[in-house]
Amino acid sequence: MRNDPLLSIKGLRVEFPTQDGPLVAVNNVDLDVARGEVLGIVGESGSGKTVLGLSAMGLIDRPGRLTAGQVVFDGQDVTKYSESGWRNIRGNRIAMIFQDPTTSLNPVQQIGAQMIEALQSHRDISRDNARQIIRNAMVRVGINSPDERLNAYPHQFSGGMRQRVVIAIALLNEPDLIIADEPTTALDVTIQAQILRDMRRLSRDTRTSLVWVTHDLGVVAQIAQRVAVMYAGRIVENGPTEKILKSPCHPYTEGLIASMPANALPGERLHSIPGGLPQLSKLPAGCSFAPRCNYAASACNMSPKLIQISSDHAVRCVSPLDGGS
Amino acid sequence: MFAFILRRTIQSVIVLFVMSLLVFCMINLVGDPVDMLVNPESLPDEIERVRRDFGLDQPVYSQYWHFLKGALSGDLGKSYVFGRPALALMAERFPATLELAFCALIIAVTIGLPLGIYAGLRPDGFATRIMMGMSVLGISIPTFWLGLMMIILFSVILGWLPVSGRGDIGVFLGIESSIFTMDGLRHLIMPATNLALFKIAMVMRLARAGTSEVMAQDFIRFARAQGLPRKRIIKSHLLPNILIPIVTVIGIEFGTLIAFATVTESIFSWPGLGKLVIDAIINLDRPVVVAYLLFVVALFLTLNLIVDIIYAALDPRVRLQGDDT
Amino acid sequence: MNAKDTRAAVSSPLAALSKCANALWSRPSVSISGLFVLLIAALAVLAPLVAPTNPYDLATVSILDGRLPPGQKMLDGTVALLGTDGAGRDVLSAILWGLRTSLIVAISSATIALTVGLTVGLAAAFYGGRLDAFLMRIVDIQLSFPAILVALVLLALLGKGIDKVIIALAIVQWAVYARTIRAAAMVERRKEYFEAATCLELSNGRIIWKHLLPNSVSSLIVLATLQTAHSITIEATLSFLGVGVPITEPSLGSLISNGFDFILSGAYWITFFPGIMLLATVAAINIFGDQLRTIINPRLSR
Repeated sequence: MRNDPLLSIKGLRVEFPTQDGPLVAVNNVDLDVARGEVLGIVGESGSGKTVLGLSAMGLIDRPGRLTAGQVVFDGQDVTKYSESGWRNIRGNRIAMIFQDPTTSLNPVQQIGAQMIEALQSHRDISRDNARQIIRNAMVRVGINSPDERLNAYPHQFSGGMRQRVVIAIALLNEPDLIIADEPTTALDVTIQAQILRDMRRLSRDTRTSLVWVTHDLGVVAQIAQRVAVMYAGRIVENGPTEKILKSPCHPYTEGLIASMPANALPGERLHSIPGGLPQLSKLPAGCSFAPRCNYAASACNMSPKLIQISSDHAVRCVSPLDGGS
Repeated sequence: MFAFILRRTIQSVIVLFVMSLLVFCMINLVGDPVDMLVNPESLPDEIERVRRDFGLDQPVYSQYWHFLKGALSGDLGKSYVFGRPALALMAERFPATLELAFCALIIAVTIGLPLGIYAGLRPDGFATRIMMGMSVLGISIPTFWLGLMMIILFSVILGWLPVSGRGDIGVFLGIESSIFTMDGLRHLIMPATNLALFKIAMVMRLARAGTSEVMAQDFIRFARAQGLPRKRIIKSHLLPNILIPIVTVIGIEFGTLIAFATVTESIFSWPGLGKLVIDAIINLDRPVVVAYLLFVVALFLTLNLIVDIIYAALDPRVRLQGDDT
Repeated sequence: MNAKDTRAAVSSPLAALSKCANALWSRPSVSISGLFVLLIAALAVLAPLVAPTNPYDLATVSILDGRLPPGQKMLDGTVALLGTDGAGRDVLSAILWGLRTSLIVAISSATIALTVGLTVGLAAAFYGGRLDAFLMRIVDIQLSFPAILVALVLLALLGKGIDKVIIALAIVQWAVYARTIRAAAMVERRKEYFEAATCLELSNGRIIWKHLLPNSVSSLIVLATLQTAHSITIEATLSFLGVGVPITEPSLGSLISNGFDFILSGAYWITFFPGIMLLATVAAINIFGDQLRTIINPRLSR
């Protein structure tokens, strides 16, 4: 068992040019994912969490581009990779699952053919062997009678079933890391719970690292060992799930926890954080959360640095909350 | 579905009937075909005899009644010029036109599809900008003039290709066509390219629009995240998804090709339907003109009907009802 | 100035036109292609003055000048810059006169088609119901046939002559105008001010003139531009086929057709130069129309 992180993102910055100047979707992000670890990335839509996930796959589409930082995967800086270098990693060592299972599969190609393609693009393998691996992968994600399913088209599956197929495709080449971008958001709650349970088990059994991108802290609580909270392109808090849920140090994390439905009493109105995300191309000077923050003070006009609260817990705030009090 | 087809078929038959009435009545207003039928120095009673023989002394409504009775039994009258049944003349000439239109279609797709896909994949590329700039020029070029320029260049100056006619005809699998002989191909290439010219731009535009639409879809991103090679993504994910609409439109456009063949056939003296009808118009050969018009109207009505049925069948709501398992 | 601003403020079609024009001239790409179109129009109008010879004056045209290549001197001493045709006419002069015929045909047919289409489209949108359904069904049927075919049919039925070509092209085009105008008017009909105007019991004519028309003007201008380019090509094609404008008063298409007989003998200039003029005219109008469309509806440009 090696101790160096599997994925290590250092000082990453991703920009999209717009008419009002560059939009910084990911701003100076540092993040490590250990081998076998499940990491949750939490944030509102537009906080940059999806772009962060895509940049680890080299899938940032033009005109967006990495303007600073490194993505080190298994000891190699992959940002320097050529398209063919990336292709060897994508789907093979890092797999990605997207939010909407209804649009992730090619509508005019049979499921089996799509899976064989995913396998054969990384291994020289016979059709029969490929079919055996596909059957195993499908059973592992809870699809019964896989043989009948292989000749079906995506529209013949339910949403939950389609996402299982997508996950099976991600598992095919036994990747070291799976990045899942809100994979259960489009599904109903019971199926979401099943898939979460299955994924947690899979990650434990195969020692696969998992990065779970979501806007839902409740999902993170069920699956992740560690959480990174993103706000306006930056990571504002980073630490073990239990610590953060119990005693958040950043006012934004506190707000997120307070607005979880599970934390509301029956009949009580759900808490919500006032205001909305600032425009990423026109960030306020200083702390970008300050305009919405209950604790904002004059010191918040300075850009806050990431402060190490303990060895495994960091926060980006000039006056961190002292542990949930 | 059945009621829809029935309603549209009845509608088409009514349109066809109205068109035949209109065409028949109006064509009687132009010129006197007897002038074409007899020697200019003929005596008046000779002229009268011819007039009687062709039924031209009857009032228009009785001529139409006569025509309609004939038409229902497959007799559209005799050509004044050739003295043979118009329908037989058309049946003789139709294969040549069909061959020309078919080859033009193939040329348009082989050139237009790759160019359109390229433009869709690289919307900001240098070559794309040149292509799009050229396409305004392309739709402005009068195709008949370009045909003449082709003759000047390839036949007069370079002497590579024959100027006119259909060339030798070969037989393969019971089909007679000039595709099967070298001489036939040499005769075919210029007219087919000329006829294809204005369809190339259309196929290109369709392919470009389809490509930029499909490439933005999630399943393409998912395929890239699986590490599929670019060629593979284009072949099995992009192509099948853009081909459905392109094939449908090409189906509708086939009728237009046959209509436009009149021009191309006149330039290259291609012995097809178009040449026949242009000569007939100039020579006031009424039966042939009427027969051609009714044929083309029927062709278009049928093509439109088929396309409407296909659209109804491709409508996801209709498809889901019949297809879901 | 964007199209939205132009829409909200105007109250009559004329005001809308002048607002459009102002917005357009501020864009160089439009003014350049617009100037080019104007230049071509001026050449056509002034053909009798600018053309070196009068190609239809039988007294000056001599068969002895036939098929002179470009740059040769004719009998009367004039240099035939673009050569002469089979009958000894100066090709450059014939082109300028031909351009005149082509534009006359295109513009008169466009005017007729626009008037008919405007009436039908507004009537369909304004009265709705069965009249609308009936008119639009006719439009649909006609538009399902290619324009060149409809024109060919009509000329087969009507016979030859400039007037016949104009009528045929007007019949070919009215349906496109009718459909566009109806669509634009339907959009306006659903807006609130329209209801208000109806409640105020303004006369129908007033509602149409003051409210429906100003808001359809911009899309009509674009359509008319592109349609004119299209109908110039159709007329040329018909004349080339020998069913359009008669050879006695040739358009660009008939000139090309006339030169067709000489291409095998190598006298390329008789077809080549009229074709270039045709191409330049149609391309200039198309590019101008394209630019107009980009400005009036920026979303369509991609």
